[in-house]
Amino acid sequence: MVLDILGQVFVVTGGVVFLAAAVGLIRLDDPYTRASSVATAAGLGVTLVVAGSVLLDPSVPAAIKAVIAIVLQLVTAAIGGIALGRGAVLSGHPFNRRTDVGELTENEHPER
Amino acid sequence: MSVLTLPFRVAWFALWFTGQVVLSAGAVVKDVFTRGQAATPRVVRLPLTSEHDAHTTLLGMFITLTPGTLTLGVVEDAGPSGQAMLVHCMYDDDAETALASLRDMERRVLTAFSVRGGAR
Repeated sequence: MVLDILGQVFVVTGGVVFLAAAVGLIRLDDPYTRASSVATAAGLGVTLVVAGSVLLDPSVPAAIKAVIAIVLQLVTAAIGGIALGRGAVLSGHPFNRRTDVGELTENEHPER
Repeated sequence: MSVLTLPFRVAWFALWFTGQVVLSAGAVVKDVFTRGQAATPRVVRLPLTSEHDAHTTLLGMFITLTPGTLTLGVVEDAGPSGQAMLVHCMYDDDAETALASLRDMERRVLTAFSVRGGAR
């Protein structure tokens, strides 16, 4: 019963994270803020939904699969986000007007 | 930093990181769903302490998974490790605040994922 409620809360929270990322995609205005929002949401949203579904129907095999799925999801979402941000820098996409790029020199390009 | 304590150090880091994510997610979600433009985006340069690629990769991943921050890449640096990480932060008031929290995270990543001063 407690697990049921907790599982439902996790699944719904995961959905809200995805919704926030979708709204962010529309409202944010440069590749960096968008990549930031999507990479985080892809990692956390899927994690919450998967963890919630295990709590709703608990079993040892499901828990093992969930742990593997969550680890893979977090790693790939993060690396994907970094790749998007890095690609945008290297291809010279501008930051939005409010961004303070004092630390980034004119011809800065990450070498890996 | 013995191998025996590694699982406990990693577990403690996981707990701390979960807490950090919940804290910063609140700010981001609030900003997305309200009309206000609370974001103050900036790019900061974080000189890296460790030379190990595993540490660099892990730190870059955790920074990206934290709501509001994104790793942009690794560049050459004059510092001791010869490397610095460029990080895009959306919700820090100034560069000093952003760097302070990034340094704290770096210290915790190195503590959790090191074995005898080296990488895993």
